[in-house]
Amino acid sequence: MRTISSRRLFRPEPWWRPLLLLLLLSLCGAPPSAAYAHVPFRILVVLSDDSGPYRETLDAFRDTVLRTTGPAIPVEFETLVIAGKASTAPPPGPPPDLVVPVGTRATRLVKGWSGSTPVFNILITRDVFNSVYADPGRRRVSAVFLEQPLHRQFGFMRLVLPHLKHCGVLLSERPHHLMADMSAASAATDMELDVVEFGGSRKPVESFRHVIEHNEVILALPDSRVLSPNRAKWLLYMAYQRQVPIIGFSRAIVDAGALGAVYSTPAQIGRQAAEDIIQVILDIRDRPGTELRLPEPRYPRYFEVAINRAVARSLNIDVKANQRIAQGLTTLEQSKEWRARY
Amino acid sequence: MDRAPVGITKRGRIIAALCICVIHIRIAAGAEPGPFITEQELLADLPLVITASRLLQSPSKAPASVTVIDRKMIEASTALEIPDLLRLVPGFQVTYANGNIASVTYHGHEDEWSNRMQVLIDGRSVYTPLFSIVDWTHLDINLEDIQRIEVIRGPNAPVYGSNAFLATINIITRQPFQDRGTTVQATGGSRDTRQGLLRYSGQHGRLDYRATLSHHSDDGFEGVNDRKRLNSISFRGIYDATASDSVDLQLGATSGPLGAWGKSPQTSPDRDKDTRSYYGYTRWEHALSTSSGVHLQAYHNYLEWSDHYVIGPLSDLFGVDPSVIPLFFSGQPDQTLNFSFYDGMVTRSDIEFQHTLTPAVEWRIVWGIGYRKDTLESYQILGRRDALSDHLRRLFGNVEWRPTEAVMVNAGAMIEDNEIVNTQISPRLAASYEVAPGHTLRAVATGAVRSPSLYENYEYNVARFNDGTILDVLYMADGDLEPEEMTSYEFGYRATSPGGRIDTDWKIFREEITDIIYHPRDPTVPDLISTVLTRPEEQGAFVRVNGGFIDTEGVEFQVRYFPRPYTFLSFQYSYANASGRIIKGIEGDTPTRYQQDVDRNTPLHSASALFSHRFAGGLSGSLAYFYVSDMTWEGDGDPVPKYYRWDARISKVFPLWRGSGEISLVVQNFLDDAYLEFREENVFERRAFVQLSAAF
Repeated sequence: MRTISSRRLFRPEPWWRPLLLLLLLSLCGAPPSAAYAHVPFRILVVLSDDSGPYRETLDAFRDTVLRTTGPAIPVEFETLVIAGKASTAPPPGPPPDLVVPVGTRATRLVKGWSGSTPVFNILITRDVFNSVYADPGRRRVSAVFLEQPLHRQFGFMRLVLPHLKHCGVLLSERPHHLMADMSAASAATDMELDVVEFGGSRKPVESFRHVIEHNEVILALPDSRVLSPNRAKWLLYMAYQRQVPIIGFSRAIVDAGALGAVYSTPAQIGRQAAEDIIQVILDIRDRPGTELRLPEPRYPRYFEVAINRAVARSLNIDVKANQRIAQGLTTLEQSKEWRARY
Repeated sequence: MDRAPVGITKRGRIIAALCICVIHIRIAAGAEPGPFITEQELLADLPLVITASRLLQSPSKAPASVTVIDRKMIEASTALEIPDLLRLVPGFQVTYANGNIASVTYHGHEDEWSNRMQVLIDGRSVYTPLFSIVDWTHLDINLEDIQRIEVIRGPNAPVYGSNAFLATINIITRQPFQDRGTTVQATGGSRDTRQGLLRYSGQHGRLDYRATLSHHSDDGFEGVNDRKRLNSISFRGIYDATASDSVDLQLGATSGPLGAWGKSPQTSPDRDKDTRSYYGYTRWEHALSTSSGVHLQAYHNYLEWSDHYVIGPLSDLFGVDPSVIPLFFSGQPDQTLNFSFYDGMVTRSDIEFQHTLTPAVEWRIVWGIGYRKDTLESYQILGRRDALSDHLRRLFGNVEWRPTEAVMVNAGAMIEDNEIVNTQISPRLAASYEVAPGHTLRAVATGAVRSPSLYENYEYNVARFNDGTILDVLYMADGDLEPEEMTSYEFGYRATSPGGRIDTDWKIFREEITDIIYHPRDPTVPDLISTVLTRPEEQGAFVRVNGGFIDTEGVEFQVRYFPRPYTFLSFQYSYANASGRIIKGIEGDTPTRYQQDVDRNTPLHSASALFSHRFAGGLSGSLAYFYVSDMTWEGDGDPVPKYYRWDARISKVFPLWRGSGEISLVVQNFLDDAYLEFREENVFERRAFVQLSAAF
């Protein structure tokens, strides 16, 4: 029998409320709503693939849910892996209470299913989510994006390179919402932004050269037209030759030679999704008979920072310890001013 | 079964099928992924680009005097030849013994066969045992292919081995992906200069590659037989096998005739020497982690100079009646002689394993082992028809320790063992201290040895009668040379302003070279020709011995100023005062004459500057200045008075229907204030060149 660990429940994060509620409920012995007391909440997890990151997400998601709900709130999981299958229909039987697609393929697949089961997408990017659910219809959908919000990336850049001012960004196009977010984030961190449009008549190398020559730091954003693995190599190498640091978007790009990155691991995404969904379950228990209310799609709450110390040293940049940068970023994001802005 | 609807003709079906094809193609074309990235791309591994072994040492913290000539400077410079770029390094002297023999040295003391400098191209040593030189005409790379040149001023044998004695020049070529597409370049101008380059860089899967064809010809100095007619081909491919493995493959070849310097119409007439070279190089890099990695590299260099000519008959050479010749030369009849000078074939094969690791943030360790085989085959130089070889084994290690952010200590050593001088150790200890942000002091003490090459140690260069009897011993070595040794001390200061607008490096140095390998004349070496010569300084062969020492003291600095992104100024100056003694005459083991005024072989002052600005509209201009005070190059060098030289370059970039083009005008010595390079015949007057290039 699972027991609820009070040490885990009282962790000093702003997400303790549902857990505290759970504890109080179980301590008081207050029976949950009769209608739900013994009816398990059924979650269908759809994995795009059976490989590492998807499994890692699923494991973290399931562990967090099971660890925090316990027997008082029974939750049942069903897992469907779609890798290699030509077409995957929903499993037979009554529809689940919630579908959790993990990854782009799963998101696209589930979008094609009929029915009105709410869908909580994870391990996808905001752009994928927005393109798949440009028209969600009547279905209730939400997501935890994989990439970081711009203001967090700028905040990270400011903490790592407090003296630099001119930041170059390469983009294949300039969508309005992205430009607006970027202007706000750069203004908040007192950076001067140079957005270089990638493509057109200019060769990739020329765009890279231009952005490197005109800026003190490059913020590499996830844009597949700009940074294919091969092109990422060019940018890293050319910037390194010119001693211009690159702030990346993933652990891999830091390993490859960027100065640093703030990113979320699949396990962190799984954990956040679990916590959000527990909140949803508690909510529906309080309001039996009503529809599930999903939170707004949102960026990751949990993140890690990575610094390539060898590159930092080679570029002659003194960077604080990762822990201090992460703390600094958390403090910054919890500041009133920052929260008011974002 | 489906059937085509009645009434649609066969032709109609073909058109319909074509339409469907077009639609399919359109759909396929429209299926290009959007700019958004998926989780797979976000979480994917990337090729490790900046690995431990590729880490640049920040020059401000490096425990050595480092000058970097980057691509921007190369493009702004007025150089058409690679050695000319090195005029921008403080303390460096560059000269042309003739139009196709460049000699590069640091703090003087060299002849046309400059042999105390290590030159590496992407880690491949291009020092050749033939005359112990770097043959700058046969590097098999082009200026266009160079990304940057890092020059370590001062001995660096602990890292790069024997020959990294006075300085080390690291030429780093561009990665193939940096120049995607086709580049065509043509240059023409003074002294019948014709340069052409065709280059293509592409990608095939995980392979990035570049292939270059080039031609280089010019007529050297006016009135000197020193023309060049060279054709080159080169290839570089980098294959990213996995995220942490890459293989670099380089191949190149150059061939063509070079005008051979006619020292005397009778014994060394104007002629051509045929030259050819090729090389193959491969390096496998494996990143063990982001902070440690190994590489295994192997290369093979081949260089051949072919120089054969006939002199005589002897009666003409000595201006006597043919009947007198048998009386002078022990019954030898009057005859013509088969002769050669620039003749030989050399190879260098090398394999090296290196491991770089950073066990903790404050430590960085590099160690490695290597093996090298040099062979030299030259009947003229060695006096034997078989090839000589030398096998060298090396073990090296370097530890960098940064106890605090401000302090760096670097210690290292190279142990080399070869058959000429047995085991030798080159140690180094250096420390730097950042006294304030951007201001670093350093102190460096280095010991270096330079092993004599096969040529230096085994030379037996003689003129023979047709029956093989020796007429004259020209050069010989005593076969038991010791290595040259050097101890160098320097104190340096490097300052970089916040934002890097000003970067300056100063150094005070003292260099002590002992056991200098020199070739005094020894009249006791028995040869027939000595019997007909009367002037004692002309008698005897040149015998290579360890004979002399040189101490050089001085100060030098470089300043780089970047007031705006499109403008930079680089200025460098060196003051070097040499003293010492070199044996000029010897009889057996006893020195008879010395050169005391060794200071004349080092210019007291040398300076250079490069100013460049890019204007609006694709126009850019640069101005270069070079000054060298009077000096005399050793060997066949004549006293060269001090000279100033001003160069200019103006270029304009313009768009082409695809890609871009550039037209440049380069004028060297635009004031036409003629000066001498190396010897009196080499008069350098104004030279102008037009360069056209297109990249698409």
